[in-house]
Amino acid sequence: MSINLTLNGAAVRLDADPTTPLLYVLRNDLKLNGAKFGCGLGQCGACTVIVDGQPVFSCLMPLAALEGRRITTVEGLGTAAAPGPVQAAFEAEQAAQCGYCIAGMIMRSQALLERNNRPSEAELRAALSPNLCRCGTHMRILRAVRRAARAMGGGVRDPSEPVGPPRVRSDGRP
Amino acid sequence: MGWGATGLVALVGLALFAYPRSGSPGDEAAGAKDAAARGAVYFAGACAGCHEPGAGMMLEGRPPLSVGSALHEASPDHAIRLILRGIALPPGPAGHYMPPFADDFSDAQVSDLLSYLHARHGGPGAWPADLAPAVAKARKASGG
Repeated sequence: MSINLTLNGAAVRLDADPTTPLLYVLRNDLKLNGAKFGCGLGQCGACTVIVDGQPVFSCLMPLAALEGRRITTVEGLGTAAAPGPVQAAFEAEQAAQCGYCIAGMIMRSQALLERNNRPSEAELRAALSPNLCRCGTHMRILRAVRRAARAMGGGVRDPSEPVGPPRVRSDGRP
Repeated sequence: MGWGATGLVALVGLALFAYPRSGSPGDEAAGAKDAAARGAVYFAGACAGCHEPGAGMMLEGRPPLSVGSALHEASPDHAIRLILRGIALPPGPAGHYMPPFADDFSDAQVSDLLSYLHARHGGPGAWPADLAPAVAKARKASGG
């Protein structure tokens, strides 16, 4: 069975078992390894991608449901050399510890800020609540999203802390 | 003979009235079978990891869909809401959770999924063959 969809702006035709969750097609067939397998149960958010503007758990998104739909993965937001604003903000805040959750965190943040770049602190926290970070860098992640909101022309309306100067990595790289 | 023809016309007329989206009861049955077949595919990709026998959640002793109430109610509204909104994790040390699928599936796809689930696990009554309007209504009621 073949499915036609738009992936990171390009038309893609996929031939795979239609029951296959999108995550496996992305990682195993298309070698887009940004989205991660965390729990496979829609409980952790490591696999989050954007489908038609909304964040979804790609581990539970059957290919059969994706005909004609528009998918964005973290690879579609920018590159290491030219990161998108949310990616750049996560880097500036050094929001990753092990980094496993970060692609999902970035995608859920991206979806929020595309929809509303002036969220309240409560809206920001509610939007990110489906995604877990086992290292516990949630406070840095929240800082990164506040920074990204500002970079995207808005800003969190009632931030629990102001956007500060970017953090510098211990190895001195930006 | 005249009675037979009249009866047939009345039957077809009734069928058309009862099932405005299809031409005959035979088409309707075939349509329901197709819908359930599509629903089975969605179930395998989205739901089976928790709800199929042998899945981790089942091994932990959670109730199978065949004994849950949502698929046995006279109205599909509760099942529709569960699929769209899931079950939010309550505050506290532990609780039951189901992820929402509102942004995964279209109204027609949710309808197909429910056709499959109701045929496999549900009853005893019948649900409308096309639940897409009810799904759209539930989305609207919950703010999209």
